[in-house]
Amino acid sequence: MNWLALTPVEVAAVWTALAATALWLYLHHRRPRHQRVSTLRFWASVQPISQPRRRKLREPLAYLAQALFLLLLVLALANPRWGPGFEGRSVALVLDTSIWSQARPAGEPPWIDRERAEALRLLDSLPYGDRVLLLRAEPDAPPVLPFTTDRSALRRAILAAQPSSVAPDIPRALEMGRAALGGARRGLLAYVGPGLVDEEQARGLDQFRAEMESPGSSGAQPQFLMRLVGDAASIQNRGITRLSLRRDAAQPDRWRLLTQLKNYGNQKADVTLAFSVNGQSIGQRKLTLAPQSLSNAEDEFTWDQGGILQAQITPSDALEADDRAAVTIPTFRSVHVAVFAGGSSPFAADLLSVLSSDPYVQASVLPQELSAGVSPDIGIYQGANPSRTDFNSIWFVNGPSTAGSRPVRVTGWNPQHPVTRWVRTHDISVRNPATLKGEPGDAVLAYTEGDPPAPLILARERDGRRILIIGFNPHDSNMPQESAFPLLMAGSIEWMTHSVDEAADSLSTGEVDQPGPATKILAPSGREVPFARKGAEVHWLATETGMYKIAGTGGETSVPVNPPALPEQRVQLTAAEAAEVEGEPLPPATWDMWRWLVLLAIAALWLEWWLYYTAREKQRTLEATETPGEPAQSEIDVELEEREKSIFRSSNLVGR
Amino acid sequence: MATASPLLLDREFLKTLEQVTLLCRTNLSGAVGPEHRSRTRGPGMEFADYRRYSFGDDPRSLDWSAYLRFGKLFLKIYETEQHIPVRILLDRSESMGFGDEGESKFLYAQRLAATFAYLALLHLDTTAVIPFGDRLAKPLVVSGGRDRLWPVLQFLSEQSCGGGTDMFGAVKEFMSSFSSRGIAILISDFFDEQGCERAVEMLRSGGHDFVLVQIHSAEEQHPSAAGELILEDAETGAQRTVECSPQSTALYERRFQEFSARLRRLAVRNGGRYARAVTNLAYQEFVLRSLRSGQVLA
Repeated sequence: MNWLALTPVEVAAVWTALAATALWLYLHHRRPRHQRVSTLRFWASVQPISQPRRRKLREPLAYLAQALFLLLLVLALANPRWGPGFEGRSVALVLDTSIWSQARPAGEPPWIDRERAEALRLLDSLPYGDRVLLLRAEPDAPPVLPFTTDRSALRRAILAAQPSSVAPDIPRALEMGRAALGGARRGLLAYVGPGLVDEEQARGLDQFRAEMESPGSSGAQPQFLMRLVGDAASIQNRGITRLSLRRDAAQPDRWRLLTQLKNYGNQKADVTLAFSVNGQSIGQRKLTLAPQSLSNAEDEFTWDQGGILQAQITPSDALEADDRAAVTIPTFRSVHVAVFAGGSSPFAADLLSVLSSDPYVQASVLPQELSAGVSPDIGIYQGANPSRTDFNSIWFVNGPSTAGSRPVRVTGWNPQHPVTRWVRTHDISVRNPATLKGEPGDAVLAYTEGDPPAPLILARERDGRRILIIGFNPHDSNMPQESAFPLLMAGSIEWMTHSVDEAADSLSTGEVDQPGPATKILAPSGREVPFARKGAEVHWLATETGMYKIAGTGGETSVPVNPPALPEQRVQLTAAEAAEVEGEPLPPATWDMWRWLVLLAIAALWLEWWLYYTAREKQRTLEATETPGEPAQSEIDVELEEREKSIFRSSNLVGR
Repeated sequence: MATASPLLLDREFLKTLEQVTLLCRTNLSGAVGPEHRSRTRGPGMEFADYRRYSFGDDPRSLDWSAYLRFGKLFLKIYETEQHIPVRILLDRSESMGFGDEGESKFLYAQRLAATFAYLALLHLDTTAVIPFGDRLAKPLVVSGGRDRLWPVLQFLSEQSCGGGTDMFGAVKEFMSSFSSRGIAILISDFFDEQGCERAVEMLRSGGHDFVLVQIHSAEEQHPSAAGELILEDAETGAQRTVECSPQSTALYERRFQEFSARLRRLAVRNGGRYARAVTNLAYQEFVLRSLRSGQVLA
């Protein structure tokens, strides 16, 4: 006997509870109603009910029949089967709802509909005892539905599956499915979708197939089936695979645009490529795309503000999702650097000569006492530590000047830090270096030679500001004559201001990294997207194309996400993969007992009623026993009737 | 507990009652004068018989035509119209407060008492309304015609039911208070724990022409209660827990029928008359049909 719905303990518990309730009802003596009557004389012959002090089961046999009925009913609900147990097969169904499932060939239904139909057909071919896991063929292979035998839920889930905009990762999804089947004694792994992979996925799929053919460590491998939908060869699709912007080095508002287009079809295609920024058209061009090839289009345009550049190709084709792409144009902004020093000091002269070489930097020399009234992007100080740290700053702090001091070599440049990553020199030497005391969290960027080496350059972050502390006077070193000095300053400015974006690339669905803080990310559909912080960047999985809104402490920014480059290599099925679902071994004969249990329960219920009412009738008959000794009155009645009539007949009664 | 309205009888019904007579046994001796015929011979308007003249008879009653025809003196004999007191004993015990919806037994009894009183007054008889329960209450005695009905109605309206029933004690007291013979109408449900046999026999022994009017409700005849009940006697306060099943209800009904039949036998056996009223039957119909068919009214 096996229990499909309830364990024997649960059956016992449920039955005990029900039987106790029935017993209480049997014992429960309803409180008689109180009623005043004009006389009790006519009730005198009715046997009064005795009120026992202790409650007594009046109809024990009926109660036993009731308990039997409840037991049989609970057993029937438990759905027991007589015979050895049989466990159905475990099935992992991988449904490819990646971007290709959006494809809609002319005059045909979208591929997602055919996928759903094929998945339902596969589901219907499975025995009802099989447990089915539904997965998506996407990078993280999210389960749509856990293992279940509920066919209606599976059908609903399949019919409700919507295509996403990410590229499929079929080998990964199949691996996930196989891992899910790992513990099952018998299993089936099935893929339903267009079966389009790129070269890397094709290699992964070959490896997967090889592993499936080799016997696993735990025994036989599950049956692997693939059901491909759609005819990839006949589908005509052109798409934009990449948009890349690069700022002109000499003219910051001049942009070079590289557009990469792919013709996935097997026919040459003439398309019109149109560009717009923030909805304002900036030009278009006609292109001829060779079949099965990648094409590049280079353009230039002038735009001195930020915005969203959108590219679109026409006419539309079978897959509209990749007919357009967008990229964010970085905003141009020069960096204002204030050097707080005397106008004629050699320190200021040295720095100005370095800073003026950068076209994106606007440098000025200001007296130290004016530092409270200005807010530059970066302030450069000489000498003592400044009291204000309202903006990013560079402090040049030199040690006490001693006569005849010897130059000290600067070593240990930190190649990992953005400030010093380009500095690769051993020729820098300084005089009178300051003794710097680092704070927790400070990064040492360079040391003075010695034993032990002393920190010479420190990078510090405090209250959201970045500070670079340089422990020497540039004029007291040979640094201004070395190329390392402009590199150091350029690195410092970039670290403090993130520099100026000189290039931008379009983002594709999948895993996305974006710099900057974020408190919330909203997908184009409006749903909130979970994300992770990786240092100064946020990381999330983009499954939709369109504008993602990133809310941060400084406001909201929009990030366009475009369709990815689509895999185009059609999987070639093997005979085994195209085969039908293997027949299940016939389950051992088991006997469903619930029907018989229901019949027995009905019989027990009838028995209970019969016993109950028979007992009640007996009791009532006993209670309604006629009082003995009543005289027969019929003869007296006849006599009196005659007498009464004779009186009436006589003239003894008179009226008026 | 029902309280009677002053308007116990409607005007149309009173008009109808003018065509109705209260029947009585003729051998009652009463004051001569009013409109009841009797077997007593004497001065009157209705010819009854002839008899031979004897010395001392009133010569004004001689039938001279008969003398001329037969040569003998015959005397015309007339029926004397009698004055018969009508006593209405009205049960006002607690059990009379029960009844059917909107009509208690006591209200029904009050209406019947008013009807009998009106009939008596209509024929210039003296009538007495005597409420009783476990003892006799202060009676109302009126005479002098139909115009005296109002005090009767007023008196009845002031009555309310309560207390137990001691019919024998009440009749005994009645006999000592009203020694002259007359018509005694006993209106009650006769739910007396001591029984009513002795009371009836006492009425008979007092020479009264008595009528037993049993009043009960339909619920008392056919109880509708079901299930287990704690029944409390309204008069004695005694309780009894019974289960009202169809069997026990049938037994109850049988007992009730036997009770009514016994009461009827008791009345007939003692030379009285008996009528049974159910409160769901209109009292006018009971008066005009049941009492007529029961030879109480004509």
